[in-house]
Amino acid sequence: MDTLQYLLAGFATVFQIQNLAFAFSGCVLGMLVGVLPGVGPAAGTAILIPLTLVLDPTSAVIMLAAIYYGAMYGGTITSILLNLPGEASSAVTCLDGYEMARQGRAGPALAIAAIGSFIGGTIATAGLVVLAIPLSSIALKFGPPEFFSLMMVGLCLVMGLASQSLVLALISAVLGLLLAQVGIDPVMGVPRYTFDRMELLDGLGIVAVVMGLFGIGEILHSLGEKGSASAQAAPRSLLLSKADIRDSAAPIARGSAIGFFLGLIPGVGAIVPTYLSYALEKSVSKTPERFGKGAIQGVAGPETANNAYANAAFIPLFTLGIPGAATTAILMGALMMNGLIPGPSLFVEQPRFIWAVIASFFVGNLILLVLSLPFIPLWVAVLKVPRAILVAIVLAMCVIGAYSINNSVFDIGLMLFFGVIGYLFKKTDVPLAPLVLTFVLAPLMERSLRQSLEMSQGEFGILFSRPISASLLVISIVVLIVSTMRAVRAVRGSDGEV
Amino acid sequence: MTPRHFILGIVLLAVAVMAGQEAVQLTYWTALGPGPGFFPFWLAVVLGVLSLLLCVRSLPALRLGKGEGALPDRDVMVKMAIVIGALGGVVVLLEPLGFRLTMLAMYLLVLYGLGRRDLLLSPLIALLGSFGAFHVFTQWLAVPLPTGIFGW
Repeated sequence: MDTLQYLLAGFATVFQIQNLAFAFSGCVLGMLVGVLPGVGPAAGTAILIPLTLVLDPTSAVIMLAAIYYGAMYGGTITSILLNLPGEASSAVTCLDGYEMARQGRAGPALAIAAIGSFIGGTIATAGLVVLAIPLSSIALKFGPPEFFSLMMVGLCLVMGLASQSLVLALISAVLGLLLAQVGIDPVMGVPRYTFDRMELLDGLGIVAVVMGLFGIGEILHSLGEKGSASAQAAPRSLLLSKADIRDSAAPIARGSAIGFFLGLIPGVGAIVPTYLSYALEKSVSKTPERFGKGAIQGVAGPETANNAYANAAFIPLFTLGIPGAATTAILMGALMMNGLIPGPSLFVEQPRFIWAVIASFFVGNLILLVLSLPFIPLWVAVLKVPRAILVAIVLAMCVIGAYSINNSVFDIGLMLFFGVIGYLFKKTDVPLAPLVLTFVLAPLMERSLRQSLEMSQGEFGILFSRPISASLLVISIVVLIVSTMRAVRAVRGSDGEV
Repeated sequence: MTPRHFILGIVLLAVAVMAGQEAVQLTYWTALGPGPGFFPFWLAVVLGVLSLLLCVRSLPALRLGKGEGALPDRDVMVKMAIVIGALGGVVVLLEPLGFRLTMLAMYLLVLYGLGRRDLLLSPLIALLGSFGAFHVFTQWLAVPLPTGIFGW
């Protein structure tokens, strides 16, 4: 039986009433869990695994996969409505999504996030069907030098995130790099900047940091806003305009490509494709000064990249048995609990099962779109809640989210500390995006560089002698030059200082 | 640039100096390349240079007294103190007192402190947000939350 026949048989399995119901309920539960700050897709999937133990293997995995991308979208909702990222990779959506909500455009922001997620997820799943095995062999060629060079591309995009001042953007980026040094040195195992605190040995938790910077910081900032008691402007329209659709088309296409290709590489993490997409969209935009002020491209691209990544991350899992991220590792555990061993033999030994699961990705993405769009008016209604009540509820959600990371009040304290930092940065126009991007990239870069140098006995030439690594370094130089030139133009255009 | 940027520059300069001091105590270079102190050291140096640049750039604004005042209005500062104090109180009391009592207190402090002083809705929201949330997270989602010395 060839691929198409297996896929059609898979669809026949998925369209059975009980499997459709499991996909639907998985999306609902995933979305509800994803809305809770700090309880991201990984924790949400782990929490809901017990629900699936009583199901047959096909139904269980269909439901778990639906939970996974439902949770990814759930994190978007609070990012847009409350500037509170449900999980770290949603933080970039806060930059423009929340600004759109403040301008009464929460509906279009949520809608484009849902549509972009659907398109990105569908493209990634189609890629899984057609290109899984050949692309996996390329992904296997990624070693430490290639990882380092790939992260350099991301780092060079930081300049594109500047708005008011290049100096402030650079300060933000350097602070992110410095904060990432906290913890155990990745190669020699030496504690750095831990101040003899056990809690800092693992480094600063990204979830507590972004919840503080974006969520608590925004709450503190909003306390100074005069005007209506409700948190946002009255919604102008819940629908996307023709201009919105036109402006989002190219970012969605680029976001799909970024998320798909990065999803093939194990260990990249969901935050990297979303930030790369945002930085790229700002770099190529004819109006980069609109980013950070409610540019729909700043939502469309990253949200598409996020979901494309989430679906593409299944490719190394299914074809090689290598989980690309924490959530796919949890799903791998769930697969094994149901008697399925991910890896090259899965497609040969269990073709009906695996193609049913892949077919469920198409259907699950569609269910998520159909589910999320009608709920947008309900989510937008949250914005009418009086500010004091909303602040109290958001604070409580943040406390639960931060505490549930490690069952430690230290993370709540960390979140509070970064909340104050986020407020101070907002008052001094220091952009947050460079800080978060470099904070995420730095550990991967440092580890990759030092592993590369161990491989080459201290010779930096290894970065240039390997073709993929060399190509990526050339790309990063080009990206640095182009994004710096654009950033200088954008800053001068907004009357800022270089 | 405004006077706030000058203050920010000074603070960041202090952070850079502290970071550099810690970095020099680590191994700078090994036989196989950068040691644990290499990146922290150079990051501290770059941060220090950028901070000095920020201070220099904002010096004219400081001299002219340009921009908003360094501090927000008194009313805003009180509200910020309530929110920060509420979260600080959670950090201190969450494990000894337990989730339910601590969050009940946090809700009441924030709601009343930010102006919701009604006698019915605010206590109801506080109860649902503390006791109700505890039940949802511990019973439905199996997320452990502290119960404190009173078992609450």
